[in-house]
Amino acid sequence: MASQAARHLRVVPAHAPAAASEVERLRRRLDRERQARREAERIAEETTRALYREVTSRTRELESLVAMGRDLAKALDSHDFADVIARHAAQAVGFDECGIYTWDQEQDVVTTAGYFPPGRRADLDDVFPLHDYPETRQVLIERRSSVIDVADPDAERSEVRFLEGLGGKLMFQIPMVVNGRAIGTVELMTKTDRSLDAWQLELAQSMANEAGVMLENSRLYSQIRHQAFHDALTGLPNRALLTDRVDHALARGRGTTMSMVALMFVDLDDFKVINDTFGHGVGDAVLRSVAARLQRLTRSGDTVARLSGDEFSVLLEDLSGPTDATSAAARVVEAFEQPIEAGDRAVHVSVSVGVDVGTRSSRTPETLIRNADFAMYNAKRAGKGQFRAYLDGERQAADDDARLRFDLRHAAARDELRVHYQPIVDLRSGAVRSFEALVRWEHPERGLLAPGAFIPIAEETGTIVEIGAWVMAQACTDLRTWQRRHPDLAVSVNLSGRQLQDPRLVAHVRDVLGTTGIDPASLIIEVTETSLVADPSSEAQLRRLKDLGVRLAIDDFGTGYASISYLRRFPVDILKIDREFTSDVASADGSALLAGIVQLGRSLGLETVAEGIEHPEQRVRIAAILCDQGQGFLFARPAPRDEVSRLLATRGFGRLDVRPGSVNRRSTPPRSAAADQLRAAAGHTRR
Amino acid sequence: MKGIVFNLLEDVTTATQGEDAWDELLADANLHGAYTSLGSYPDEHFFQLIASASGRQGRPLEHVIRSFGRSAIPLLANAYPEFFAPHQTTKHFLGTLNEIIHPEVRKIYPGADVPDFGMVPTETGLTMTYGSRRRLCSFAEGLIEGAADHYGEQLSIFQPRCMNRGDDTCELEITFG
Repeated sequence: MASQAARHLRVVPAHAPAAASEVERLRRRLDRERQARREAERIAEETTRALYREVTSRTRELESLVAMGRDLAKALDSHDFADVIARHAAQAVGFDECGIYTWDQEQDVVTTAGYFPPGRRADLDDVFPLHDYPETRQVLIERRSSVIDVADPDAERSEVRFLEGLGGKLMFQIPMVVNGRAIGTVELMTKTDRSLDAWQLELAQSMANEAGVMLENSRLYSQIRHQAFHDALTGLPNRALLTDRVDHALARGRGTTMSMVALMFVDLDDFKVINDTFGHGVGDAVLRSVAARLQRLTRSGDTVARLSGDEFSVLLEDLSGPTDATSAAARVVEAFEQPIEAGDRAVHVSVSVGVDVGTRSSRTPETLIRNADFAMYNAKRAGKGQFRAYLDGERQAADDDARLRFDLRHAAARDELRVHYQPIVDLRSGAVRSFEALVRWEHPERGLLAPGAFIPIAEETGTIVEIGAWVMAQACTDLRTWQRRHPDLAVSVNLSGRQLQDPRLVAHVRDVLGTTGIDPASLIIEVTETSLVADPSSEAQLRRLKDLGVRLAIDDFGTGYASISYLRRFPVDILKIDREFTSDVASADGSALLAGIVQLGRSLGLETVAEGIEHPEQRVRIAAILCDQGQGFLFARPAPRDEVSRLLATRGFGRLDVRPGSVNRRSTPPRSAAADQLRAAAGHTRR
Repeated sequence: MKGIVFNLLEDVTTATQGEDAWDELLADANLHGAYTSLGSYPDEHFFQLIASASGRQGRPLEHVIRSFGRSAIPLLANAYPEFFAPHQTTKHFLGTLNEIIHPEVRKIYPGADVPDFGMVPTETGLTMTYGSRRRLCSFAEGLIEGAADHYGEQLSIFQPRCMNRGDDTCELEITFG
């Protein structure tokens, strides 16, 4: 440049040397300025153009990313967003096809996650081992793009063959980089003779990274989801997922028998023994084998889940009827007759299976699950290696029963027990001789319960001992109150077999007698024949009671055992003849039988009481055969203490007589009936 | 090196030594001298011009560079008042070099290779580290002195470490007052 300027300067005329050098200097300066201006213009132009290109490409990039983002938001729930990314990447750079592949570094493979156009997907493998595609592996490891060209002289490269197979000419492999780590590639392919500008490649890289973030998030989401809904040991769905599947299965069913849903609960028998004997390692291996066996037994659409420790569940869908469910349950039980492989040993494990089956109209997910659980529990109780199907209503009944058992334990403490009294009348005079104390339970939800509704449960659970003790104390307390004006009244209290075995019984009765101060003879203890015969030790117990001075009555006499020899052995005072004989008294045979029993009693020196007298005719006949006393609705229904007290206080009480044929009050409510009858009786006796 | 440095050098040279001085420097260095602020030019051009000035003035290179820096400040303050106006003191102005001035320089002149400055305030002033492959710490010193002139302050600079003396970085201890 300097020499060119020098050549140029030679044409300057040299007529004035001083001026000439000045001109030369000025020319040089002018030349310099001109050059500087041109260069400045060139730079400015280049810069402007570059800026324009930059802005244009950034704008397109933004537009592409925004469009992709919009479509991705729509695609998220349908899991096809890799396809969306592929489409946008291809369209953004004007290429024909685009594949999105995720990298599993451990397995050394890439897997097709999405493809554009979607129809081409079928031509592709899903999984590509990277030992066949070393260049792709390099792209991933080095995190830099590579170009595959079919015109490449080294046509043996597997990536080139892959591109040829697709009918492409040029392919860019761009790594998806997330947090500095490649998670897969975006591969853009063109079938025409074109390439990518730098900015297009940059755009594709941006989209690839964006896609990488999306795919990575989705993978993490699936992983977390999987962990939340699967059991780590067996990989089976857990309770949460099973519940969800049950929901769906029932909701999906059309409510017809062709789409029944069955749920099995499968519980290993004595799994604890396996764990304790062989250790948890073997225990875990057994659980895994059980999981595998259950999966082999079921169809692909069914769900095998692990609910907890040794409890599994199988959801069966699209059954044609309940027998499908029970035969499936039977197959499961049978399958476990073969030993289970647990590591290097074979272990015998049987299973108990409960199954319930239903449709959307007959079951909610919760009831299906609870029914199956209930049925499994029944199978377990029935013995090992069995299955049980749930029977409609049985859980409700069991629930009610269980609830009652639970409530009964607290009934006394919560002051829900009541004693009602039914008078026992002298059949000749009509005078009330005693009251039978009868327990009632005022259940907060179910109302007043008769003994039949809860005494069997109390007997079974042993609560009867406390209840009985409470009734006896209450009855004696009430009796003492009444005896102030009616000193000859007595009270009879029922004693169950369980109470009779209770070693504290005698002490308790002695305490009650001591506390209330009543004459022991005015306490009558009623026991049934059955409870006497059931336990040989009851004889001694009765004698000790008898020694206290109380009287003993045999309740429901005639219904228990044929042998009556115990009447001689036991210190009995009163026979209460079962209502069955009373109701038969109208017939000649019945009358003769009752007369025979009364005669037996009399001859042994016992008082006799006929139970269940309801009709005046019965009363007449029974009185005629010289039975001493009677009890029944004809005289009064059981009534609460206060009602009895009131009547004893306000009326000249003592005689309770009813004219034959005057009343028949079986249809009136029990509580008021007793009062009515007592009132009626009192009025009658005054006349 | 960015063209603007050459433009500044030309302006400072012509202003202090007359119109012809710049032509002479270019002729000495055998350079055509068509520098535009937007362009980039080899660093050697700058060092050749400085060497030429050093020879003509009979002053050490560092002195030439330092006084070039000091003289450049009024021109820069004239051209870019927005960088100077917000500050009252040299110390405050220097504090904005890394965060404001150099990023702005990079925007206007893409690819500008600006030095890195480290700033540690001291009781009496400021300790700055200077890092640049060009080792033009004396230019930095001159610019700092120029800035002090601009804000009407007195300062002295002591350089305990310098890349030109074999240290891995330059350190400028600036004391005000």
